[in-house]
Amino acid sequence: MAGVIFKNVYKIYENKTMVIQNFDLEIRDKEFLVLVGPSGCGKSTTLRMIAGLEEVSRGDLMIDGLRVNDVAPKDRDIAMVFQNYALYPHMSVKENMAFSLKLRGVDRNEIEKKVLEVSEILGLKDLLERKPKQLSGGQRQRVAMGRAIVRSPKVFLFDEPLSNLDAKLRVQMRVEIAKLHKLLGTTIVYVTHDQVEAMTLADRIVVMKDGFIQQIGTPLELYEKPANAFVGGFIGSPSMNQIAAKVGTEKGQIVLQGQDFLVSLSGEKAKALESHKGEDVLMGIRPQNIHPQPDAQGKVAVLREVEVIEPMGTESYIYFTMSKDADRTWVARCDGMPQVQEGQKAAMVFDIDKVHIFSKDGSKRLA
Amino acid sequence: MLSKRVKENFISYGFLAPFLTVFLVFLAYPVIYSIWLSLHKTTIYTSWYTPFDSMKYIGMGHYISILTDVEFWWSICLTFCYGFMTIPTGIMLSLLLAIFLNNQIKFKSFFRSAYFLPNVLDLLVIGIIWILIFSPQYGLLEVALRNLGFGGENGIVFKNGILGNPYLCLPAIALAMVLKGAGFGMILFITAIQNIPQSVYEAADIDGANWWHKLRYITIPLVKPIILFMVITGTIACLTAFTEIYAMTTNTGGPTIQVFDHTLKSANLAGYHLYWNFSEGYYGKAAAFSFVLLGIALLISLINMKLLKSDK
Ligand SMILES: Nc1ncnc2c1ncn2[C@@H]1O[C@H](COP(=O)(O)OP(=O)(O)O)[C@@H](O)[C@H]1O
Ligand SMILES: [Mg+2]
Repeated sequence: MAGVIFKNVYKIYENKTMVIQNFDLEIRDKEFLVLVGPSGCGKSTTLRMIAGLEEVSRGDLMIDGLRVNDVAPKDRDIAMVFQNYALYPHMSVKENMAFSLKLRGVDRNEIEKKVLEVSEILGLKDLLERKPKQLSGGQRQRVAMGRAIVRSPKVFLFDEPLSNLDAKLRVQMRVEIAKLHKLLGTTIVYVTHDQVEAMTLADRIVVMKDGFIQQIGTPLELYEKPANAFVGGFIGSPSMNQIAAKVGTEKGQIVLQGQDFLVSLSGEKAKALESHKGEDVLMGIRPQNIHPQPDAQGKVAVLREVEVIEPMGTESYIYFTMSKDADRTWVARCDGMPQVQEGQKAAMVFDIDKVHIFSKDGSKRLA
Repeated sequence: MLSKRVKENFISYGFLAPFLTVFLVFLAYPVIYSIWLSLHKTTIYTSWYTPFDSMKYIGMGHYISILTDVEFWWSICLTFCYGFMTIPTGIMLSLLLAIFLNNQIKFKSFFRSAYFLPNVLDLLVIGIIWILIFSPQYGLLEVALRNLGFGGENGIVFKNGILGNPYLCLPAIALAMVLKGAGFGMILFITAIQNIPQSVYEAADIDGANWWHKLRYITIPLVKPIILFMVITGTIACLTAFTEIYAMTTNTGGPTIQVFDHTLKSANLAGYHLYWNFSEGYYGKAAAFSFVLLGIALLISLINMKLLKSDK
């Protein structure tokens, strides 16, 4: 059992900025938990508190059932992979990996064996005598992971480990990290600002903003039922289209009324909004739930001009202006090539049961 | 019409000319001339006003006489002692100051400036300050120790002052020089330490390192180039040490000391000994001496680099 528990944790830096507030989180044993959020939201701070590199200002932090607020990093039995790798520049790959074991007074042969074993897993066997300077970014990344793995710690901490790699290598390392987690079965807390990384790696995701937890859930939960407009917009790519609207009724049906559009709802969504009649709300819909077609064929749709089409091969993005009120261009996604053309009007057909409705300020999910 | 290339060459040499002139006049010529000098000896025909005229060729004579001279070997011995007293302590003190003043302590900038300050003073000035500190009767140290009750019955701690004591003279000079140089080394070390990313220390924290491990396995290896630099410059400073000896022994080379049946000067370092030869008019011998010292300096630097080479 090597879970990590935050109980009402606060972090206040010396300059009195409150960076983490009211943080409650239970990270389960063997779980791959991803902390995700825009840069500056306090992800690293949270991770560094687990590592013991930052003090917990208020609240309790428990690792493996023990309160560790006042336990030094070296006694927490955690390992961390830093964003810039933080390899010891003067030591060879082997020495880098062996360092922690050496400090722990592990037997020389034992160290040798362990380092070899780990370097085998990570494909570092031929690089053992090299210095970090003589390695590529991806190789350094591996060494940083190797250094963490040799110790068989209770918890692995990763702080944006892939953000210094190029796009191709990032995908490759992402897969390797996922494999590694299966192989080692250790608790992993992984920080990233990249929601794709979060979605692909996580058992559970914690979305953070301005030091507050926005939502905790599995990737699918976050995707299908974002707790607020921020999570809705943050998870998923391209991100969710959002616009202000008013809940109204027309011909006995619940409708979402904007300045220059009207969308009628049915089923569950309509039921959930019964009690919000007359309220201003925020409507969100993901690009893949908008289908641009030459004509609406009686489905719920708005008629808009196609401004730009971005064909990507397997899919295309279609950009259009939903409303004069919308603060950004909307985007629809379709498989293959779209049936509509740039500069022409098209019926934007909505999967109306996939619409997300949030309170006006976006803080709460209504339906 | 000159071709463009020739013209460009002319221009480049034009820019190099000032340096080349200075180099030829003040470096190349004296070096070559002193080689010539080291193979010659003044004669009765050599006048005071044209000292380098009418000298007699004696081949390796000076070199042989230097290498068989007790005073020479004594000066080399003292120089080595001086080196062992100043270089390691200087490096350790600089590193300690750097580590200490790299932390978030109050008045950090003040301390940094204060420790660096002696480096802007001339060695002669520093020598005089230390003479005042070390002098007998009313010297700062003497008075302080007396008040602490270290004096004998008559209240005297050091009879002839510290610099008048043949066993303490050189160590006292070494102390003064270590304190003077520490500020400079400190700046070098601070710069080097600040180049080590904080995250490396954090990684070490997590790997289980205590402060000693971090110093031993991270800081020291990563500031090794500075240590090497300080060892080499320190060695050269020892081999050419002159001003501090001149100032603090008031141009005597220190109180005399009896070694077997030789009466020798207790602070007669090689650099000072060289100067002494020159000032006594032994130009040829002084020139030869300088080449012997050069040889020793090169040898030691080579050994240093071999020993302290940062791998690859
Ligand atoms: N040592 C510090 N002192 C004061 N403020 C800090 C310190 N470290 C980080 N911060 C602030 O805390 C906030 C969160 O930082 P961080 O945890 O690094 O964010 P993230 O990793 O999510 O990008 C930022 O606004 C940052 O400016
Ligand atoms: Mg960060």
